[in-house]
Amino acid sequence: MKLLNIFYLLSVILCSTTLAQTEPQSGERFDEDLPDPILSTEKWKKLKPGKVYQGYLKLNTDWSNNWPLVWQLKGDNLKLHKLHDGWMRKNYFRTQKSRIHDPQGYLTNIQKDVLADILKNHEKVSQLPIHLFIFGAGQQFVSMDAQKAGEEFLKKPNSTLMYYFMGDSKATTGYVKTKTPPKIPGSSEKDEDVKPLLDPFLVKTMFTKAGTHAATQNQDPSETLYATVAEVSRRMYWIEQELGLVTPSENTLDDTSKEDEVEEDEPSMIDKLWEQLGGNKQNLLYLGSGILIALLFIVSAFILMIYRRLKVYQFPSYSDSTRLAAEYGAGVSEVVAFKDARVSLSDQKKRIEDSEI
Amino acid sequence: MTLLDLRETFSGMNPIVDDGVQDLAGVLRRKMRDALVKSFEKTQRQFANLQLAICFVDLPHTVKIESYGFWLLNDGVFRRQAKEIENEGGRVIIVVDMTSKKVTLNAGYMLDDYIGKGEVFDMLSNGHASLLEGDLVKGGEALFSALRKYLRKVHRRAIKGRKATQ
Repeated sequence: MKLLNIFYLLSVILCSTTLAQTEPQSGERFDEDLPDPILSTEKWKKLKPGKVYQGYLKLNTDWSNNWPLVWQLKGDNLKLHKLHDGWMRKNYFRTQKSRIHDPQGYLTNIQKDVLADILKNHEKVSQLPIHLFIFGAGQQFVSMDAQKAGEEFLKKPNSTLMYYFMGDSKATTGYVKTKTPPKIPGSSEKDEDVKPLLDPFLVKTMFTKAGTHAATQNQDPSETLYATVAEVSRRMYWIEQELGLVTPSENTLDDTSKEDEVEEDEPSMIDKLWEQLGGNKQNLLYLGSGILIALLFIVSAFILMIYRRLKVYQFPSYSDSTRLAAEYGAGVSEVVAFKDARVSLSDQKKRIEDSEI
Repeated sequence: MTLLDLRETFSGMNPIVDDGVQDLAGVLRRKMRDALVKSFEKTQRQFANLQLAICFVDLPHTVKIESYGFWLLNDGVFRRQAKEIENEGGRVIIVVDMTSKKVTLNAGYMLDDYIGKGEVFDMLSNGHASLLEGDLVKGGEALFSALRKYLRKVHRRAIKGRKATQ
């Protein structure tokens, strides 16, 4: 029996090890170079090349031969997880009329229109146009640097790239291309020695803060997207100021700043008072002296009040003249009754006066 | 009625005024009493050579408040101020009788010539409304406030040596 048990145990261990070898582990399933065996399933074959699958993938016509992407199977859908250098450059960083770059088809037409309006308005007031790149949440760039690619893509200086990750506005980032900074005379010719016009950290923080601010203010994903772009547009003013494109007094950013400007144009309270006085210096003198007299009156009243409160009154001595064998006093006192409300004070006083008569 | 007669009448009564507020009627709670003592001290501080007091008493129906005030003015023992003030002709006592619901003021010889006819009544009238409502603290405070005002007036007369019209 013991031998049988040992044999059974051995067979169980052997079976489990063979099974573990055949099942691919979750971390090793997706290789960047080799197509995954799951790609050959029936569902995958049903996808039509060239068609946009919302939020997932625009398949290339020659997808079966040329693999630009690495796929991840999620439920019944194929989700674009990582973006390769070649595919990125081909689909995102190519010249096009629109400022909105969404080759994966994340945006609806309405969303595109709204964003186009926001960007158009931004260009009216700003000297730094924004190119908006839309990605999926959690997507990563493989073997490429988004900043460098952006630098190559943006041909003109003073323009901006914005990377927005759908559903994750806090991950928003971007890049601002500036003019070549002037080299300090006497320093070496190396690029490392040249100080950039903009602090990269400042730019990155600006984008992140805009995304975070929009995420806290909005619940709806579309609204968050619009708010992020609008917030970036608003914050670009500070970048422009940093670059010396606008002076701090110049205020051409948005409606709110315009409102502020209008408020500033309104005459101040002193100006209004001056107008009411007819701009006459004599009237102002009268007003000033009036205020001074009132102030003096208040101060003197206050001092008098304090003086009266602190003053100690000393009565003069009296001549001893005792009456009714009383040592300290024998004056006739007056009485006020408070028993009945119907008996008024005037009645009481009248009664006293009558009795004295 | 002389003081000797009154002494016989009030022989069993307590004539001690401890701290300017004497509650023989037992109508004041501690907080009420403290508030009145505060008001009393404010008044007493201003009139250095006067002895001020307010007494809440519960007199029998047979006793007149005027007589009691007269007796207390002369026979009352003002413990607190006794050492500080030599001239005791400057006593001023407000007596509030809770039985007959009456209030009166008795003043010593020092103020005799300067207190005008009907002026004390007017001064006491200030506390009438509150006392009528049964608010003893407000009534007492109003009386002290009116007393301060009135004594300042009396003081002016005394300094000028101008006697009040009787």
